[in-house]
Amino acid sequence: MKIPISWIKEYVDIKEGLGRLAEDLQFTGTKIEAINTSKGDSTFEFEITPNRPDCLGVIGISREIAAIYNRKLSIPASFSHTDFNPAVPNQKVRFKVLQKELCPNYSLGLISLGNITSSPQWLVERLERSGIRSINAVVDVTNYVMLETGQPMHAFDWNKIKGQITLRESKKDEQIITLDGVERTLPKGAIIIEDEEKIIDLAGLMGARVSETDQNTTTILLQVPIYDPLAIRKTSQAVGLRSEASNRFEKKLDPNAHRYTFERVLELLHNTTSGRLVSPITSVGFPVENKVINVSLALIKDVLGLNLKMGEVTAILERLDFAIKSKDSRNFTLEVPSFRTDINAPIDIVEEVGRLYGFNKFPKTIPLSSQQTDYQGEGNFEINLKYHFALLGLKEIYSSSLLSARLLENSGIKVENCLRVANRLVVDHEYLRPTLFIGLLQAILDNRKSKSRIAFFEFGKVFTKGTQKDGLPLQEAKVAAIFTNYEFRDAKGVLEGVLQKLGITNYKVQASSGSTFLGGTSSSITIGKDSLGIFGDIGRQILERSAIEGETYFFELDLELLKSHTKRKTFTPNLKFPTVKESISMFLPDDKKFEDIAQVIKKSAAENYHTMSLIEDTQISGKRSVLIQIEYFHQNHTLKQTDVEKIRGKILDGLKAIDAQPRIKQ
Amino acid sequence: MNLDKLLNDFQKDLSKTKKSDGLEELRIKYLGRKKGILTKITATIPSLTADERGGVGTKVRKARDRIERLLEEAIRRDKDSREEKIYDVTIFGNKVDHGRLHPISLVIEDIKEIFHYLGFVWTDGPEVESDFYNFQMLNIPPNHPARDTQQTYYIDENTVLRTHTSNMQIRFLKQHKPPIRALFPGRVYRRDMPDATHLPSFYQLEGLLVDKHASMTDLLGVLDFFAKRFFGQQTKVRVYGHHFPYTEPSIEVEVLHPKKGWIEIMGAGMVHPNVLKNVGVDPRKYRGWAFGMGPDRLVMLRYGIEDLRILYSSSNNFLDQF
Repeated sequence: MKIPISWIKEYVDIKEGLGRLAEDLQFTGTKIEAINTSKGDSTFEFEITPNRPDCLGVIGISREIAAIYNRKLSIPASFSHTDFNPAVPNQKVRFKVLQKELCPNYSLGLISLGNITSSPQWLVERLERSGIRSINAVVDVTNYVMLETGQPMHAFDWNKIKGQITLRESKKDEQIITLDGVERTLPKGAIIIEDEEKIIDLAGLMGARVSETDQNTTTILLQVPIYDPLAIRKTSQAVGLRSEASNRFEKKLDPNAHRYTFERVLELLHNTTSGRLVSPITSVGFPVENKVINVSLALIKDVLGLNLKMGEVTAILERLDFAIKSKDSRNFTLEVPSFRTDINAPIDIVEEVGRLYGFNKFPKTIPLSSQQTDYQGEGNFEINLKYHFALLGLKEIYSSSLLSARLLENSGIKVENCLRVANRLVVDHEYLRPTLFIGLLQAILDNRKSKSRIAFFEFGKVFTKGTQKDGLPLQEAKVAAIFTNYEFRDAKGVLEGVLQKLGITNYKVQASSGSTFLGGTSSSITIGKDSLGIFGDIGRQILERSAIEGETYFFELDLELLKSHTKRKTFTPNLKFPTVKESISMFLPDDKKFEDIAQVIKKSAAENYHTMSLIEDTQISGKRSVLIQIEYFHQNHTLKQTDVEKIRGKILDGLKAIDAQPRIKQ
Repeated sequence: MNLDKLLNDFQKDLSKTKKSDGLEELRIKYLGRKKGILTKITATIPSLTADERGGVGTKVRKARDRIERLLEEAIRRDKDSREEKIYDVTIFGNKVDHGRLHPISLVIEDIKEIFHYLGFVWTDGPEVESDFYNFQMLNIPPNHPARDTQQTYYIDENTVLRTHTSNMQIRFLKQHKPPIRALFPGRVYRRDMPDATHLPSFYQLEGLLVDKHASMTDLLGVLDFFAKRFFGQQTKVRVYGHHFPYTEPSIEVEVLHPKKGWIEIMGAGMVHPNVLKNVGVDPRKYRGWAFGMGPDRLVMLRYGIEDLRILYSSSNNFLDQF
C-alpha cells in the first residue's frame, strides 16, 4: 500500500525525518518497504500484516503514528457529520439482505451529482501517488475514501437499477460481466447483488458492467458494506480475481466504519461535484458494541519478562485508543476500539504493550536451565555419517526434491508412480522425488566436462504415492551416492566402507532378478528381511540420454534401517602368530558368482580363515578366471606346512564340488 | 679356506668402495645367495670330514656376522654423507581431491552447536504434511488471509507440502511433555516463482522452548546470543513487531551487516496460547517461545552468495570452495 506522506501529515503532526519515522513505524510493526521521493513529496510503501486491516488506510497509519509519538490525531470532520440532512429526501431504496451473515453491517443511500464530472487536481495527484489512476469524479472519490478509511464501497448508477435490490449467495454457474468486461461464471457461495432483472454486482470483488457509473450518471446508489471475509476470499480464489477492495473485504474490517465512510464520500462529492443526499442514509447493524477484555498485569509482566507498573501499561494502551474501564493493582478492564478487530484476548494486549514499549529496550536474558540437556547420540547419526561419506572422498549436494516429468522420465522413472502436487506453478517443480537418484545424476551431468573421478552423495527424503496409517504418503529418509569414472570395485568399496563404519557386517548384496530404474546391473542390499537399499550401475540408455560418458554407479540406502542396524564395534587385536598367504587361481563356471567361491573358501578354511582378497578377475579363452589370495592362521601356534596342505586340500575339494576349476597342483 | 684372509680381502674391497651401488655389489660378492664367497664356503661344510669340520661352522658364522656388520656401518656412513635435498617450497602442491560437506550442512551444524549450549535437542519429521498440522494446529484456520504469506503446494485438499518446520512444534509437543527445548531443521516448500531469492524447496530451522517460565526477554537474550556467536561477537541485533498467527507477541529480527545494512534474518515470538492448547499443554501453566530462520539465507550471508539457486546447483566449482 502506497501513501504520500503529505496526506498523513494532514491528520497527525510529524516532526521526525522520514528515515526516523520509517524506523519507528517498523519497530512497532508497520513495515515500510520503500520510500519514493519526487516533486516535493514522498510516498511510503507499506507492508501491512494481514491481522491489521485497520492500517490499510491513511487514517489507520496516522493513528499508529499518533500512538507511537503520543500525539493528537485529527481526522476529517465527517465523523460528526450525521446532521448532514438532505433538504427533501425524495427517493427510496428497497435493499434486502437474504443471508444476513454475508453482509451483517452496511450503510447506503442515494447521492445526486452536480454537473462536474472530473475530479480536482489535488485529488487526482494524491490518487496517482497512491498508485491509483483517476477515472471520473465518482470513482475517484470512492477510491480516495477507501485509501483514507481502509473501507471499500461500491457506487451504482441508480438509473440503471430496476426496483427491489437483493443481496444473496450465488448459485453455481450464475454469470456476470464485470466492470473489466470479463464474463465470469460464479461458484456457489459468492455474494451477489441483483435488482429485479439482473445481477448488478459481484459483491466485494467488482461491480457489474450493467450498473456502472459513467459520464451520464446523475444519481448514484452508494453502498458501504462489511462482508463475510471467508465468502469474499473463497470467491476471489475461485474466480481468480483480486482487487484493492477484495484484499480489504477478506480481512476483518472495522464493523463501524461504514457509516463514517458513507458520510465522508458524501462530503467529498458535495465539495467536488456539488453532490447531495437524495435519500435517507440507511445504516444496518450499527453501531456494533465494543469488546471488553479483562487483563491481569501479571500476564503482561510474565510474558514480556518486564517489571512494568500498572500506570505504565494503561498509559501505553490509552495511546492506542483502548479505553480503560476499571483497574486495581492487579487487573484492569479495557474496551477495544472497533477498528482493532485483531484484539480478542489478553495475550493480544500483551503484544500491544510490548511493541509500543519497544522490544529493543527490553533487557536480554538467558533462560535458566530446568533440565539436563539430552544426549544427542541419535540426533548426530546423520551428521556423523555425512562426515564419513566426505572422508571416503564424496562431495555432498543438496538437490531439488520437486522435479519435472521430463527429468524423471530421462532418469528412467515413470511419473505415474510419483507423488504429484495438485497446483504446480512451473513444470520444473511438479513431482516429489521417489529416489535421490535424479538429483545425483543431474550433479554428474552438471560436471560432465570433468574427466576425473567424481562422486557425490545426498541425504534427503523420498516420497511414495499412496497413504499410510497416519494419512500421509510414505516419506523415507535416504542416503545415496553416485560415482563416475570410478572402478566398479572402488564404488562398491565406498558402500562397504559406509557399512563398516556403522559396524554393519551381516548384510548381503545380491543381484536383482528383475530390472530396476537404474537400467543396468543392479543389486539389493539386505539384512535378514530388511531391504537396506540398492546398488548398481546406470544403464546405457540413461547415460546416453544424459550425455554421460563414463561408467556410472549408484547406491541408495535407507537411513532409518542403517540407524537401527548400527552396531557398536569391538577391536580385533593383531594376530599372535604369523599368517600364511596363498594364492589360488581358478576358472569359474557360468552359473557361479564370486560370493559362491568366497563362501566355500571361508567354510573350508573354517577356524583357520583369516582374510581373502580378489587379485585378478579376467576372461581366459572365454572362461572367467579369478586369482584369489587367502591368508590362513592359527590362534595358538604357527601353521606348519602340513597344516597348510590340509586346509588347502579342503578348499580345493570344496571348490571342485561347486564346479570351480582350481589351477593348482596338490 | 683361510677365513682371516677372506676378512682382510673384504676390508680391502670395502675401503676401495665409494658409492652405494658398490656396497651392494660387495654384499653380493661375499654374501650373495648363489655365488657369494662365504655362501660357497658354507655349502662345502657338509662335505667335510668330521675332523675337518670341527669349529668351521662357528668360524664361518662369525665371519658372516662381521662382514654384515661392516657392510651395515658402511651403508649408514654412506647415507649420512649424502647431501640433503633442497626443495623449492614455492612450487604448487598437487591437488588432493577430497570429499566435502555442503555449506547448508555446515551452517546447520553451527546453529545446532550454538543452541546445544543452551540445552536444545533436534529432530525432523514429515515434509508432506496434513493441512491440520501445518496450519490449523498453528492457529491458521482454513481460508485465513495469513495463508497468503505462505504460498502453499497442495497434494490434495487436506495434504500440503509443509510451508515451515513449525509442524514439528506440534508433533514434538504431542510426544514430549514440557519443559522442552528443541530445534527443527528441515526442508520446506513454497509455491514461489524460482529466482535469485526464491526456490520451491529450501531449508528452514525452527527453535522452540516451552517451560513454566518463558519470556520475551529470554527470547531476545537467546537470539542475541545466537547472532553474536554465528556472525561475530560485535554483531548488532535489533527486532521489531510483526505478525505470525502462531506467536503473540511476534517479532522479526535483524542484524547489522557490514555492507548491506540491517537485514532480516528470522521471525520469532511467544508461542500463542491457542497453539499450546491445541497440543494439550495448559497455557496457564506453561509458556513458550519460538523462532524460525533460513539456513540457506545464512549460508548466502556468510559466504557472500547472491543467488540462492547456486546452493542447489551441484557444480564442483561451488562445492569445492567449502
